[in-house]
Amino acid sequence: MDEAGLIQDAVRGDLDAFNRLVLAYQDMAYNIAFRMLSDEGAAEDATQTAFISAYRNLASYRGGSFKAWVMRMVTNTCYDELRRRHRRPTVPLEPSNPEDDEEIESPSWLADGSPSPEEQIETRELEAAIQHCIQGLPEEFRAIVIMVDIQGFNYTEASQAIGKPLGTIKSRLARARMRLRDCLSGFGELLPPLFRLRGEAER
Amino acid sequence: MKSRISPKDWILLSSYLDDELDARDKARVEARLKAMPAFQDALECLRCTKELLSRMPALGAPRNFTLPAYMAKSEPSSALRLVPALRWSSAVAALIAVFFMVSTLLGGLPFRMQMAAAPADMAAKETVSLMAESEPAAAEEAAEPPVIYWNGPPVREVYGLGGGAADGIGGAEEITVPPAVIPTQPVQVFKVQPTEAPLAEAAPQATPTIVATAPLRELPVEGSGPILGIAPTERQGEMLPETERQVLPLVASGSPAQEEQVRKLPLFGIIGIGLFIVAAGLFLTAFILRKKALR
Repeated sequence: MDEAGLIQDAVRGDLDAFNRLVLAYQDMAYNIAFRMLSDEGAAEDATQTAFISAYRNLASYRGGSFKAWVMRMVTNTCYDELRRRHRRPTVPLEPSNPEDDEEIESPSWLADGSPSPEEQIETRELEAAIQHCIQGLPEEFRAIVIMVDIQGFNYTEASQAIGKPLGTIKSRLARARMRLRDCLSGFGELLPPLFRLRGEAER
Repeated sequence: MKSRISPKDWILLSSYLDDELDARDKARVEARLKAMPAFQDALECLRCTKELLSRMPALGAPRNFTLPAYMAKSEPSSALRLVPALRWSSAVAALIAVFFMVSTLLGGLPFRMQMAAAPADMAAKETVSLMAESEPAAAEEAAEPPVIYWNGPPVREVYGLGGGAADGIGGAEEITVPPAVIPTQPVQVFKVQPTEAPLAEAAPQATPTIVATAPLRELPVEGSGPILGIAPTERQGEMLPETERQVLPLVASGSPAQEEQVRKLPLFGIIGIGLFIVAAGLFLTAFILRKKALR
């Protein structure tokens, strides 16, 4: 795919060209939105809104990484959604603490009808634990960790996507990782042996 | 162990882990990693965290997010189109506001200077105009002065009894004294009687006292006009229409144009401040619209 050519066509108003770009980035956009919002429906809405916003503001694209530009739309849409949640908080039906006994009855378990193997369960639990720790991060830290450590952005791309200087990205990422380490060390048995050993050694 | 690693070290280690350090910092970190086991442990800790995060499964999009034609048809950022217009309006409003404010600040100064210089000038003009107005009256007065005649027309031929400056006839003029005219009516006679001083030491000389020997007769007052024209009690204190016409313009501060200017000064200031607020509001609106549109 010639991304530059598609972008040029999209800027000229070619919707098909833009939709091809959407297909290329929609998984990444949805992933970021889901990790940021921790809600499938909200992540879908945020992703769609971000692509609409990107299409409507193609004229403001000034070159550089198109991926970072689109992901900036996604993160900004997620920030808007998070701010809306702060203004109108809701009580989730699912327990937020994965260690809680009620977790066994949570819809996330019931969603998959077939019985899962033990390893799959552990993976899910670990994923839930990590997601829980990510949710505990401040919003500005969360976006950087998701982009760099989960989506594999380099610092420059993250800087463009977040709209902050490189120094800020480095500092926030280091602090986010320290917080995540502290949070994850509380999940003990779920963690891989290496992580557990390091955590115990540090204590 | 933790206390040896500062927040700055954590940032260095985190960047080292992602290979985002320049050569100098990288060499420095590697030297410390060899020298300090705690530094190495911290790096391992960060590496484990990063690895755990990278294990998070990549979620596929539950559906396609391609835009249908109806979404594309919607006006692309109509708010964004307003931004240049809002910015220009803001700039114009700010310029006009500056103009009004400068007019208020500087426009008042020359006017005040003009007002300060005005009294002498105005007084001179007023004096001249008053003189010009009073000249005909004075000439008329000189031609026909209001004279009060006591007991009929005076004996004009007798001069030198009261200063002699009346009617422009001075003492330098040669006076011929005709024979005295005896008035037809009896003249009141006053006898002057010396009074005795009660105490000799207090008043060594006698003071003359005038005693009327005949009742005072009311004499006719002839002539008219401003000299002895005392207004009746109920009209005393009133300003005559003629005086009003002459005096009031002199009391006023300046010309109508100047008064208008004085009235306009605070108005200009208020308009200027209002325009500043409008300019700030427009600029803020443009800024917010652009911010929102770029999201």
